[in-house]
Amino acid sequence: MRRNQGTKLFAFVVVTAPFFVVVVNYFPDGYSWSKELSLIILLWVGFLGASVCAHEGKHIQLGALKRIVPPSFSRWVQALGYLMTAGFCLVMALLGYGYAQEALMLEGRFEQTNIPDWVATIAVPAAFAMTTIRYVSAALSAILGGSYGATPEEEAVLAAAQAKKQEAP
Amino acid sequence: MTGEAKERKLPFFIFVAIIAFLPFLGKGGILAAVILAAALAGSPLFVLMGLGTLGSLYLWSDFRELSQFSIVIEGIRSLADSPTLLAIPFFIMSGAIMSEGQISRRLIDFAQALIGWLPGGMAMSAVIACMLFAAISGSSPATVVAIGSMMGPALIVAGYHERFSHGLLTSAGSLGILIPP
Repeated sequence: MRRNQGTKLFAFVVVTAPFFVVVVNYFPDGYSWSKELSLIILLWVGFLGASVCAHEGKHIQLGALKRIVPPSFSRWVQALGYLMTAGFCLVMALLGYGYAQEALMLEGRFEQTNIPDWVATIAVPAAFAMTTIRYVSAALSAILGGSYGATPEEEAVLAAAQAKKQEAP
Repeated sequence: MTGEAKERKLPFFIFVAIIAFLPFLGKGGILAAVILAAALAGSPLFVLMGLGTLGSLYLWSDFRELSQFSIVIEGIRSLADSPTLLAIPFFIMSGAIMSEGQISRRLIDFAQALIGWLPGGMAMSAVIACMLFAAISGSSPATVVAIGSMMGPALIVAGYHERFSHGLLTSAGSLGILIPP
């Protein structure tokens, strides 16, 4: 039994050794561009993900303070909160746009990948602009009694209130 | 219902009055009022932090033009220059691979066999499984993804409250940083 295992191990070494010789000698040591490319993709994915979180109402909020808002005001206070967020995102988008323009003029490039610097920089204004649109839509939706951009908990509360209204007559 | 609504209005108006009073205390008061108003209106945490940063720059520095505030964007852009940040998505990916490879399932089974028979054993075995997985992977987010995706629904089905289950798993995931290597 042991002899059989030893034979298998020997066969494995014989078969795989040439493979590793080829890998070590003929393949590059590492892809120097991979780190830069990963970081650029990470920046884009992170910011686009933040925009999607605005769509799904998954941004972290301080829920404790919202509980003291009377139900009759909650729609308007919610809309105000969305508008404040949209205003902040708009300022960030404008700042990002100015910064991206500067990067475009300076014509800087990443060292390893030779990707222009603005490709990474433009992720900031693009994502903040999208988030602004989403929060303005959420504010309009809140005023009109909709649930766009609301957190899953708020959506559940809204659905329960609507169900109650439908049951009432 | 009317009485309930009246009861809830008083703390709200007291809070609004505090927000209205704060700016009279000076620059710090203005900043606190803006942040508290945003928090009351339900703005996300990133907005509160951003308002704090932009507000501080405006109130305590010579920044008056919009372009001067691009220093904030420079800070965000510098994320693309910090390789340590890459650890987060790659650790989560490794957690997903381990989860697909049934490592987390086996660890959960082991933890349940160990203390699952005790009262509250399911929650305790979740903590043990998180501890083992975090010690192996070395990453708290990866642990939460790998163990949480399996134990989270299982805990809720077993009758644990949703908030308790999520809180337990996210806090137990952070045990990994206490365990060498």
